[in-house]
Amino acid sequence: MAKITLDNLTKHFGDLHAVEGLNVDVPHGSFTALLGPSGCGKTTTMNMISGLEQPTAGEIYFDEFPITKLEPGNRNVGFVFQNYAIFTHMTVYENLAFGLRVKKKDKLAKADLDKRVRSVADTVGLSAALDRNASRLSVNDMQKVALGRSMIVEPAIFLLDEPFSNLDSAFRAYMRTELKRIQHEIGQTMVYVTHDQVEAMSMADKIAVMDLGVLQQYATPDELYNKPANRFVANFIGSVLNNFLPATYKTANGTAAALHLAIDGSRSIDVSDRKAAIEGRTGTGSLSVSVRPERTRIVAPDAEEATIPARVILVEPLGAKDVVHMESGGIDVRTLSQPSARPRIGDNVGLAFDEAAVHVFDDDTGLALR
Amino acid sequence: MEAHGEQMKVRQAPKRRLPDFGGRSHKGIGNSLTAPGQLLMVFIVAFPAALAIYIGFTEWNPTSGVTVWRAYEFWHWFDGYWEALTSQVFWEAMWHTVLFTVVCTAIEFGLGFALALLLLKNFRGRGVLMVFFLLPMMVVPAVTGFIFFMIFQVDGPLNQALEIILGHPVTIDWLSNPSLALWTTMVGDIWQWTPLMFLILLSGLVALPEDQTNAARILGASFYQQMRRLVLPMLKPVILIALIIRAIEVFKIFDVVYLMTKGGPGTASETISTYLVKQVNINGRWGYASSVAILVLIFVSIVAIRAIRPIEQAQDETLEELVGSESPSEAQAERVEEAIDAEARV
Amino acid sequence: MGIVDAPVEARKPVVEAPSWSVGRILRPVGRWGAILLFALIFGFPLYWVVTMSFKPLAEWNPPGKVYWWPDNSTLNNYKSVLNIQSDSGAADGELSVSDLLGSSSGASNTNNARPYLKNSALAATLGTLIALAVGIFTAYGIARFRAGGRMLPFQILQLRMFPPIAVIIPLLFMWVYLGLWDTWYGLAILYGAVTFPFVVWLMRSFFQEVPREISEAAIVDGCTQWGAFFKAVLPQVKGGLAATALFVFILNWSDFLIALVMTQDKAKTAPVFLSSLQGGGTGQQYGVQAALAMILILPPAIFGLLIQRYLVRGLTFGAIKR
Repeated sequence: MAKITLDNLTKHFGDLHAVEGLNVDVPHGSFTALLGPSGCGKTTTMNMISGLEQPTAGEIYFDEFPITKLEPGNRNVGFVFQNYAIFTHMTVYENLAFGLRVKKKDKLAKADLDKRVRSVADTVGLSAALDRNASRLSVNDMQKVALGRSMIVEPAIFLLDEPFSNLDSAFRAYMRTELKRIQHEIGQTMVYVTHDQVEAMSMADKIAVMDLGVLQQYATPDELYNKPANRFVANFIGSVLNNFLPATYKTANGTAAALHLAIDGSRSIDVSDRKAAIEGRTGTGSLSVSVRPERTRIVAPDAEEATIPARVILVEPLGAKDVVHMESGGIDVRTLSQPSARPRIGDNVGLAFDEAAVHVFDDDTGLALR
Repeated sequence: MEAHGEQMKVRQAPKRRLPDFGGRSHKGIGNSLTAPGQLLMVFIVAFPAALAIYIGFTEWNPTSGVTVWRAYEFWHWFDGYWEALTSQVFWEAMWHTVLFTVVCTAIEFGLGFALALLLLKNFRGRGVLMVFFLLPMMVVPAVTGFIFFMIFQVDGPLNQALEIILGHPVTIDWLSNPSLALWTTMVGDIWQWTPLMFLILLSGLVALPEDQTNAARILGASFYQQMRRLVLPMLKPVILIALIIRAIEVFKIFDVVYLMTKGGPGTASETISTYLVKQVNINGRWGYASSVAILVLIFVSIVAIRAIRPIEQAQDETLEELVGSESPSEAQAERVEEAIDAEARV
Repeated sequence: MGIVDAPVEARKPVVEAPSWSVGRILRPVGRWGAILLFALIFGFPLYWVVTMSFKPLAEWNPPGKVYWWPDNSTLNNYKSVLNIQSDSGAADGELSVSDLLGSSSGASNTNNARPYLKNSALAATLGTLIALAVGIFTAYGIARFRAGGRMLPFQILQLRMFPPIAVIIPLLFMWVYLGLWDTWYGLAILYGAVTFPFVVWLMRSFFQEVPREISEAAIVDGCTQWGAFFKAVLPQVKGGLAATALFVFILNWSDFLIALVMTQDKAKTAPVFLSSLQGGGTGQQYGVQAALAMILILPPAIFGLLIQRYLVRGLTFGAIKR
């Protein structure tokens, strides 16, 4: 178990800035996800932590030790690769035993080694497959071998690079809970790379959202969802695409402040609580309002609480809920609604916002104003 | 519906011609395509082989006054074969050739592998170096022989260089010393063909999935352990092909030896090929040469049948399949994507 | 988690190596040293033949002294080999090769390699064409129609395993009998036959990379099988075909053994001439030989660099595809 500190971590490949000035603290025994679209630098970050890549600048600390100069084999990390990197010319047993057999110090006696291999095989559920050729395993079993092979050397830190992206969905769900259980039991520090925000939200204690090599926000899943630091995070997190609407700022008398949406027939939104932030923004550029589809509801077009008028253009039934796509003043908006009250395509409706859940973004910087 | 049916008909019309064309089946087309090649094989293998077997039973030679068809006048059954099998020079040549094959293939493999490892990682100037190491392969083998003939002269640059390094006069007679000549001639072949070994092994190493060795590194495997436990076993099919192909080629060694020593001094560097050429060109013993050629063909055929299979197999697979990686690495694709994206935003 | 016996807190990153070590500094040095050594060893023979071709007689191989660099560089070696009358050589008071051999200038130059270079070029070119003409169709038949079953490609490859001399001895009788011996076209037929397996195996691997649908689409569009082959398939393998042609030319051009046995003087090729300049009554003619060697190296070096990508594929019968 160890804590990881990334201090101004930077990696350039020639002119390409894969990771830029990354500062992240991963506490002891926590489960942290690196989340971002492909090309955001998360895999590069992972490779620097494991030692496969040398950072251009910055330092990585495990507890208080700087480790960037250490060989990967001396860092005591376990790494599960996206494609598992199984040693296909060996049996499952040999794969699991590999980490112990290459140890230069404290070589285990044959009997002890055998005991350890069997014990790990038992944990990951491979006892019956020990003598099988690793190249003939199913993808699910390969995943187990990859996990077991890293576990056997009892690493202080566990790094997982998109470990479940190749699994079928049932086994993926199973492995998610299984991994969470293992992590909980041994209290190991785990860092986990994924582009799937659902996976990250459901498993991680804390999530570092990255884009274009730069850290966007490092927070708990709740915070990311409820208090996105910027427009990118607000857009990236959430299972249904977020709603963004252009708005202009109007002050009324004294402490009151309101945003006018650029949609005919819309109600203005009271933002008195963040008056200072909005007026104090650096530029004087335009603003955007965002509200999550799940924090809006369909009402009658002439209802008092309707924030904007809208016209239904598509309904996607998801079972428990419907995703209703609407158009309002030339902008696409979405909401979730009950299948029992499914609107018809072409209906004119009103969309009511939960004003407590409205976020305001500065269009110049993309930052949230609150 | 009707319009649809019309369309179907139009589309089907030319298709009816597909199964056979001009009254010939696909098999017929295949056979007519390969006919000239098969004919050529008969012409340069079957017919000459029959002729060689015939002449091999005689003591005929072009100066014996009759045409080759009447060689039966010099019929002597297995005397030619018996002479070869009891000839010390024949066995010496055979032994030299086998030694040549084993030693050259082994050294070329060792040097080629070392070079492949040295040039595996990309660095500035690697491309130029690669082309540079390619050059020996393109030198005409006879020229290679000539170049090393110059270098190994008693007054040549090698002895001179050794003199400078060792600080006293060096007069090693590389080419005319019977106990050195065979080993000296090997240098030419090694120089010329190590690059091929290097290129084959390099392409094998490049195709190795990087993640496997990375996984081993993280587990603490040393360079040596990665080599022995991962790289060499995974590279085995490629290594096998490289060794087989070089062994086949070295076994035929002639040009370099002929230009450097002509098989001499005496028979010190005689190989099968130089021995046969001498029987034909100098001794004019065509009948005897035929017997020896048949013996060599039998020997090679026995070895060859075992050697072809890995090459055949490799033809039908890609290198990635050969070195045993699973599906194309998505992690690698991701890394490439990451680089491209990063490039796009710079 | 049965495997976790030790207390969790006891496990920390193992900080074994110091942050700097001798190995870290020495490794790149050793690496570059090794690369340099390889480059030196593999480069020297080429360096030697290049410099030798510009050295005058006195610097070729004088006893007890080695000229690492041509002190008085000259083009006379090339002029001698290419039979270009040297007018400046005599004016400089320099001993030209023909003077040395006692033949006055204008008389026949025994070092003249022109006819032999011509034989080489003719035989290699015609041989390449023959190999291609026969090999391409055989390769297509095997790749697309599985003609000859599984055995045919084997048999063709097996041809390459025999020492050429063993195959050629019986052909020698035939060539003498047919009057093809010591003619460049007779030699070309043999070249075609000997390099034909390379064409088959290389082109087969290229044809296999062309999707079957391409020829089928052409046939659906109204082409005959032959039309589909020439109009649809062959253009797809243009690059491979060019590479195969150049590769086979290099092989033919490089031949020594077949020409040695199959020619006397009329059709003698340049490599055989190179060998006949060795020793004999004239003594060693290093410079002249080196100049001829340089001319011999040039075409394969140029072609080889052009088809770099396919060299390994060619030399491994298509087994290694890059």
